[in-house]
Amino acid sequence: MSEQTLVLINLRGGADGLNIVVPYREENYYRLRPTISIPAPNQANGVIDLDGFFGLNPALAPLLPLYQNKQLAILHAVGWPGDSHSHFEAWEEIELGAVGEQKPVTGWLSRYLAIISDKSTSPLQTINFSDWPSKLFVGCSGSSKLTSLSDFRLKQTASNSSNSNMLSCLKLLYGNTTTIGKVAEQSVSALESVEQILKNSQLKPDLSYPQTKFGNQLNTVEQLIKAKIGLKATSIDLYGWDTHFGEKLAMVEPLAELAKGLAAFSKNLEEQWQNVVVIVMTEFGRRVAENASLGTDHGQAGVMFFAGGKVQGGRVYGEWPGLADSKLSAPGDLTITTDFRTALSEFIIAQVGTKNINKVFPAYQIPKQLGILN
Amino acid sequence: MINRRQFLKAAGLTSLGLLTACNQSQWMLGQAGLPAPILSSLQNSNEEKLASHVVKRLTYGATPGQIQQVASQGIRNFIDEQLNPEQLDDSRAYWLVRRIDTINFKTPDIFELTAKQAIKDLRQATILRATYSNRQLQEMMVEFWSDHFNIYSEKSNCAWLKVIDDREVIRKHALGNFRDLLHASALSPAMLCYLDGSSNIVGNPNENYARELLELHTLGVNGGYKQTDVMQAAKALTGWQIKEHFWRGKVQFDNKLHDSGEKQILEKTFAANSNTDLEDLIDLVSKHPSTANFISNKLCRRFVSETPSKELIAQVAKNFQETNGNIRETLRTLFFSEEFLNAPPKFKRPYTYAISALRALSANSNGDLALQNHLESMGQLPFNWPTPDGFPEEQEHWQNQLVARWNFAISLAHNQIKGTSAKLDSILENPIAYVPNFIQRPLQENELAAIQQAETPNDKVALLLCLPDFQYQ
Repeated sequence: MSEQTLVLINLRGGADGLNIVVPYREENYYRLRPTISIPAPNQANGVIDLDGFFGLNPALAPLLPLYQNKQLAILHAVGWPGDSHSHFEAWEEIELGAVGEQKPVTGWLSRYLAIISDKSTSPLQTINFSDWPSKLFVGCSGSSKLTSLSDFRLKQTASNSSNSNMLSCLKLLYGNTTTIGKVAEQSVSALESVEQILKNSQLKPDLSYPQTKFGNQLNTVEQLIKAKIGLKATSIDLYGWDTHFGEKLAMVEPLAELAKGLAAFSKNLEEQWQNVVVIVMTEFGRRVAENASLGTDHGQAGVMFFAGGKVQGGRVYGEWPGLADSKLSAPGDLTITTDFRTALSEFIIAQVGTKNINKVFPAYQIPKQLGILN
Repeated sequence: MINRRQFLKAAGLTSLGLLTACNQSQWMLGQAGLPAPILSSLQNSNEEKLASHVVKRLTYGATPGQIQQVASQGIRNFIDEQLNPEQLDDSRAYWLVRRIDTINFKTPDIFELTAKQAIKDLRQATILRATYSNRQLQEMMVEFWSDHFNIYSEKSNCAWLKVIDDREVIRKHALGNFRDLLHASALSPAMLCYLDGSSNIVGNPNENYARELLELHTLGVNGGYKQTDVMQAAKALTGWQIKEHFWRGKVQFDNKLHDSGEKQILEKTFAANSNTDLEDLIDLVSKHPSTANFISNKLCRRFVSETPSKELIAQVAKNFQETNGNIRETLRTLFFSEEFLNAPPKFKRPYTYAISALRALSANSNGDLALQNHLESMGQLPFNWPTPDGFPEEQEHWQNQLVARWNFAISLAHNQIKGTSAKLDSILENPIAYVPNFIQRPLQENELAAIQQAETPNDKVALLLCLPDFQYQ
């Protein structure tokens, strides 16, 4: 069986899970957030009911069909168990896939890729779109840093009109070397693939995506997946979640961007959607109580999305810890009931089985599988 | 009265003065004024092979004819010269950077520039010096310490303050004494800003700098310190502030913000109410045996290989300790070791690659944004590494960005980088004859075939820059 392509979307800044998938039946939610809470369903600007307890932020409305078609699963109260509330440390530990003093130097994604990587070394196995100094791909030799497809071309000069000849020269030039030769070969194949894609598509902006960096990157990933050139994993960032001030308004735009982008991506992929898993995650959720600037400060548990043709969606996974004061984690955060490694293992186990899981998350015991990708 | 010797010396200086004066005017206009590259010859003798190795490790790449010159001078002399840069004439680089006013600005005047301008200018000066200075090792060590005491220009005021840090900390002490360098860095406004030292105050310590001081600047992560040492060191470092307003960017010690309690750091007691906490801490950590080991390891990894032997590290560390952190003497030990002289090729980091290409082609570059954009695509724009560990050393980190290198090579060989051009007429006539300017062995069959297959002479020159061996130093 060929592995599914992982599209990891990182909400950088600490996205507020409580205002994304809202526990609208929790009185404490409205008590602790008198100003910035999202109203219950059927009220003005209220949430979209999901299951009688949780509701979706209305800015995410374009994702509702995916949820109803059971291709979008939500995992709540999930997170990174560190307590520093630091963006930097959180991402580092999440991306290294380890918590505490003894950390591996490579990213969990590169360790996963090492398991599935076939020796034929397909070009463009991974693309790292991150601006963030991401650790995900550290240790992975096949990653190309790419921000748009047309950036990944061999330079055309006035007198150098024949790109393909120069590519074949480069292939020949590196032919006999061992260390760097393999990397060069991968690079040339990747360039050739991209040339092919660019030739096939007219590069008209696809208006179904948000016309933003994030939208363009999703569009690029769609084209690469459709071209079937062996893309195994990609990482895309979406910023705008560090909502210390004026949160309610500040979140509308990034949420709408996320929803529009994902909706377009799932639709445009057509039958390839069956071979894709999108995971949307963040480094931590936010403090339950709002602050004096109508925002929220760094918290702990947050929310994750899983989307794809094979996802067991249409429900909210995870044990709900509740928002009563006694249930919160100091200094007033939603308590984590699912470790981020358990969540990511849902994907990894579905691809490579349980026996390999400790290669990806060393010394981590998964308490219980959730069944999101079974 | 002057004697004959003095007279001749003065006469010699005058004629030298005249010679430089005519070059000087173009340097002052930002023109490096290099002629077309001369043809280098293949290295056959052992002296030349050794010279080639030493030049590639101690410089940003050989300039045309340089390897032959170093071979005839002898590597011992060359290394000595490079270890004593103040004795090398450096008029070209001096005049080229002199026109960049920014690098001499002080605080608070520097804040009159935009952040973008300040850091762009510093990068420009850095590139010009790396490319054209005769004091190549000095520039290599500036890069080494800029990584070791990394400052990220995107953080807060660092774009301005890094200009000061580069001049007063890194350049001033690059080949000096480690304790002085560390001390200057500890009190550098850029460092106080980057690692939050200025937020580190009594009752509300910020451990960021204290941790990196121990983990990245001195003892190393397994150097034998504990979390309590970090916390206590943070206390010892409280009270150093960066001033605002009229004195913006100046550093001052505010005793009211200093934790005057007793501290225990690395099993040493810092008495309460001492007014030399910072000095004592810098003394303690700069002399710690783990520091000698850690710095030596890093130097060996930069100059020898990713996996230097324990013996070499120990030998270099011993010298570091015996000379109280004399950087020159430590490097001398390293450069005259068998392991250095026999080290296998080392993958060039992108910055080294780009500068070596400029040097091999005798390119005249202004080091401005067009070139800087290429460095960014390749992943190594100076002062642009976010985390305090500095740009990585490992080949594995860099080799995936070959495509960006190829594009740089193509642009350079077609003279399509704004502000950078080389006199390519002679090399374009017969690119293959110029192979020894790039790699120190004859072309292999496939390499020759590749270059012959290229459609234009400029493409052939681009392929010379793309040669696998030219990716290594």
